[in-house]
Amino acid sequence: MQGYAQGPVAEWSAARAGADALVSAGPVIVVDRMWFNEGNDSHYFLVPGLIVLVMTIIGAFLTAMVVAREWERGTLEALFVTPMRAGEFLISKLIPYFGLGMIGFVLCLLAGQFLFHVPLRGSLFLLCLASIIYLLVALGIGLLISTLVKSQFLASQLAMTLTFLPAMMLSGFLYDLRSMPVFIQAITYALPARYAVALMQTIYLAGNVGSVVRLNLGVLAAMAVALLVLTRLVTRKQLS
Amino acid sequence: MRSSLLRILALIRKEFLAVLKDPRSRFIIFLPPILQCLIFGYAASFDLNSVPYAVFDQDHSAASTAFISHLDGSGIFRRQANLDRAEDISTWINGSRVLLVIQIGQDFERHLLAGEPAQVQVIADGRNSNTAGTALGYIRSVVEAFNASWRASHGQASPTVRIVTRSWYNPNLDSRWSMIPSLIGTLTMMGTLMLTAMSVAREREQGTFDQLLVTPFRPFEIMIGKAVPNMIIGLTQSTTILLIAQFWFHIPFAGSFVVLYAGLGLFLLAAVGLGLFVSSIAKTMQQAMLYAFLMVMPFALLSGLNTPFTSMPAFLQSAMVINPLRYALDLTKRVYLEDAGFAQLLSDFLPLTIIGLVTLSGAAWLFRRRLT
Repeated sequence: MQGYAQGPVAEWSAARAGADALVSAGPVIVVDRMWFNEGNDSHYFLVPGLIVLVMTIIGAFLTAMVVAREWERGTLEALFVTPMRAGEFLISKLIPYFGLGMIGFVLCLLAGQFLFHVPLRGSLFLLCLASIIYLLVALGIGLLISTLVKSQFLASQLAMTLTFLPAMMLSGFLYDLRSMPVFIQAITYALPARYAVALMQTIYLAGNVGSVVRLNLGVLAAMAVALLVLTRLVTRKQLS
Repeated sequence: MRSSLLRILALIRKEFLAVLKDPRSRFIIFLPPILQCLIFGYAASFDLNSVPYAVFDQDHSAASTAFISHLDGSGIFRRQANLDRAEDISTWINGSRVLLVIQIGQDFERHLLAGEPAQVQVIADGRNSNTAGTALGYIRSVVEAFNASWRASHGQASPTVRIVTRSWYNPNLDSRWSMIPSLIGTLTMMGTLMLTAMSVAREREQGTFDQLLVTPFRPFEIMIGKAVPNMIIGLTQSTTILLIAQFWFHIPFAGSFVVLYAGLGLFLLAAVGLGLFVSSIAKTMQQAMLYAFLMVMPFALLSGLNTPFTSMPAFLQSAMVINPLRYALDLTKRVYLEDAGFAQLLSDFLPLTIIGLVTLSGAAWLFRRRLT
């Protein structure tokens, strides 16, 4: 997927930079410097954003169908009669997809390092922490959708509309958030992907900037806790 | 012949019932395209209309003030702070509080009055280098305007050659004009391909596909029965987006509806063909969705929606010969904005027809193989 995205965008921004170079006759001359990305290499912002996309796909998109499938097939009733509790059920559903998500993360990390040569300026520990927390948020959304909707088709469409497309279009990954109309900006504050993209891009390119990391990590952690607790409550209600 | 037609009609009716019977499922087929069209119409733009910046003015002269007011007067650049120390630059940029910092050196005015080149340093937050590059481009055009007015007011000769740009078909270069017609194809393809891919997988998971097989239906009848309802749903989705484009976003429709719907029909044939192809391979709905997703993603990313098709690497361009969305985007955009006719769009109609025929017959072949 990285391969798909990187090529065209790179060439496109190069073409665009060329078109912008107007013939200048002075007297004021602009000397510009692009911090964090002196060479204007678009891999630098694509790789951190793609980590968020990959996590969203694995976390929310795949997980959205997990519980719904059991509802559809009726295998969930079989689980009800066992002494399993809601929390245990959810954890057993979370762990495999958490593992898959982390494998995806490591693959992205390696690709960023060795294929696209994007420098990691912040700490690896913070990057991992941020991805784990975002993955938990994505898993929470996926499980919540799955538990509420109980139909695989609906769950997949909802996950697509609520998680993947916003993560791509409304997260600041491709399009600048500050230039969006106010009511859309308001929506983006409710989207976890927005915080994740800001975190990843900052940790990757700008380093451990305290103010940015604390704010975004804090919001994501709160979302993760809220979503997982909510899912557990809903599941427990459905079990009884 | 007649009984075959009746069987197909019955299957089409059954298919519509399966999809539209559940109110939540009706909702999920039509609401997301509408929402997405509205949100992406507003959000998906590389244009910037609000660039927060800070000024580090070491000159504090009439000329530097005039320069800054030129920026503020542009309506795009919003000054957030006047910095006093060079160390503040990194605080404001690193904390994502501003996108640009403009540093005006001590002898800015002196250079200007002496008729020498005066430098202005612009530092951009390159975490999203696309956005930063666009903002730097805007800065350059504001500086050009400042230079022109400076030269005029100080009796310097202005350059004799001036470039006057006119863009056809989209006079204000509104990126929404090219974005929203593109959504007609993109959103419809996402919806239709997934719907089709999952419809067979669902029957397989629930075991109703086996029941369908013991009926006198022949494989191609099942194919048509599955394809037609999804195509009709897809056409309804694209009509909805077309209406939003015209009546909500007020993008004038220049072309002919006959050409547009002929193109959309062929495109949906190809999309449904791909969906059936996926569903004949997948065993569960999760698999079907994943396969469909893996197919839609590269098609959408490499269709020319976000990035011009002609600036992609050559091997990707040649790989995308099989991408129906690429032709559909070209077709809808050109019919919508340029009033292109059948003759000009032959290069889109032909590949779409071929893709539709190949995928449908491929899916039919796979179906038959699975049945026996």
